[in-house]
Amino acid sequence: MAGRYSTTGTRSSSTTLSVVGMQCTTTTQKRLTFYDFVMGASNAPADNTFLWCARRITAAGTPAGGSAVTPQVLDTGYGAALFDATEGWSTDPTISAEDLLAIPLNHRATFRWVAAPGSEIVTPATDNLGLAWMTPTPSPAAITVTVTSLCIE
Amino acid sequence: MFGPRSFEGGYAFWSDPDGSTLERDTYTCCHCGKVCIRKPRTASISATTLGDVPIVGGQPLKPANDGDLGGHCLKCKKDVCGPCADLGVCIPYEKRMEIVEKGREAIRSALKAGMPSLAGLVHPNAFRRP
Repeated sequence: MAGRYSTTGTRSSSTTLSVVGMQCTTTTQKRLTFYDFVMGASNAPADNTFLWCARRITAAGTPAGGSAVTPQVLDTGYGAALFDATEGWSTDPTISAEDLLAIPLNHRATFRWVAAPGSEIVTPATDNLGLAWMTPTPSPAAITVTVTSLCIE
Repeated sequence: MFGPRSFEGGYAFWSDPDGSTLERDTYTCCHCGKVCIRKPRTASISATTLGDVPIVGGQPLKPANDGDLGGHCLKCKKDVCGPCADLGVCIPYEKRMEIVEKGREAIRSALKAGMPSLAGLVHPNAFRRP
């Protein structure tokens, strides 16, 4: 059985850059199975709106900047995650323009998606492929957005 | 009692600060892996337009249209999104992932053999020779 991990990414919302990305590494390739997302904003409440999009990382690209995020193991019987997670890239890897999940959300609201068993979002066990969260729609103000992704590796 | 369309693929929850919560069933396209929101008492709709799902905060909604309607794959016994339904062929998502995981040559061979798409799993550069 595979381990379950929680990855939380935060950044000031950007129309072009991802909030957080989770990718297979080149040395350890395992499928990532995402089954739960929770997203919202942590600024003082206001009526800003923006779009949340889950998109595929489809190639290594030339990512730059960002901070490594350590996925937290949910069952301590398992070891550390093998996949990489990064928040706040200044240059993203290659990310698809197609949305796997797109949710318009008000700044004041919180959204959660939970997959039924067998209906998770799965990314291939291939170098650098994975999933990224974007906020591509302009908002009246920069918002500190946060998304938590639970996955099985 | 339960037909194939009763298969639920997940649940979406919107929590409003006033205490209200909106819930919708979702399904995950068995051909491309996209998550779609199920419109109550009608056929499925794509999550990219959201149909009649009210957005907390009053963001305008796009009406559902025929292009948003998904379908049901009789081979997979699961629902598919609108674009995959339009393709009219059954290529399970698992098969597409296996091709991608085999690498560049497998991708090229599959596309050459007539596979219409790999559901955006890899960048088009992956099809080219190094």
